[in-house]
Amino acid sequence: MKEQKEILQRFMRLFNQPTLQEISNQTGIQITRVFRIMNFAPMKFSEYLIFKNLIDSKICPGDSFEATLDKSLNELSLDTIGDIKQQIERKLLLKKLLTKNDSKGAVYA
Amino acid sequence: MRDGILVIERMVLESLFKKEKNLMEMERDTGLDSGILKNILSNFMMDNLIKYQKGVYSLNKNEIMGKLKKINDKKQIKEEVGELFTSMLNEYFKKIEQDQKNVDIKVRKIWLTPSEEKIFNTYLINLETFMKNVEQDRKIHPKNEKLKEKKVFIWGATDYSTIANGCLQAI
Repeated sequence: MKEQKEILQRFMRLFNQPTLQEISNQTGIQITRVFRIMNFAPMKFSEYLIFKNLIDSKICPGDSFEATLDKSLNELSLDTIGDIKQQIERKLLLKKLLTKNDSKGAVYA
Repeated sequence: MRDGILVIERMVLESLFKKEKNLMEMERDTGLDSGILKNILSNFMMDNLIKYQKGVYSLNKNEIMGKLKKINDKKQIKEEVGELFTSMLNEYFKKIEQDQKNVDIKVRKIWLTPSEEKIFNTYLINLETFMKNVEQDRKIHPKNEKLKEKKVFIWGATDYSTIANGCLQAI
């Protein structure tokens, strides 16, 4: 459920808080189902993938960030990967400091 | 405690290093939002680096001294300077787009003769002496300066080939 909440929060942020109708149009999921998902009815794996793919295409149009990361892991040196990892970790830490007290409420408000 | 700290976390430590403060004073000194400050302070309190008594935050100097080696580890300092530099660079290019100029970065590639290099080094020494003198003067004649108003300078020079080799190694 934690993963579901995180992916939905991310989706809402990246797509500028779309309405239920807009989410339904973008995902192809029925609006009543979208309403239930947004209120934490457990998602099906296929629904999770729909949200995940939409997020991926928004972040890296044309190529997924994960694919780039996979390629990096195979091709770059351990030191360079360590540097990149360290940078990402610092960004995450900063993000955590900025949002530590953020809401525990429903994703769709 | 994790290794190393972020630039904004160091700001908090530096602010308290000058003088113990309440939250509002810290906000004024660092320019950081009170919510972020609370998060940073509570993390430091969990690590026992900061004490909180009657609304006032202060450094737990004994603990800090013990952990300073870890915080100032070469690898961590590299990350921190990298963060400073990246932020400066981002702000510089953001400001260029908006035609504002409160961040200045200059990069020059020049071939110097040995005598010109000596002249350049003299300028650098002068610059460093000037900065040391200002720092010293602030210790003797403090001006109630705010931490957020401090100027950050980054400078240095190296051969083009050293940069190129560094780029080639970072893959």
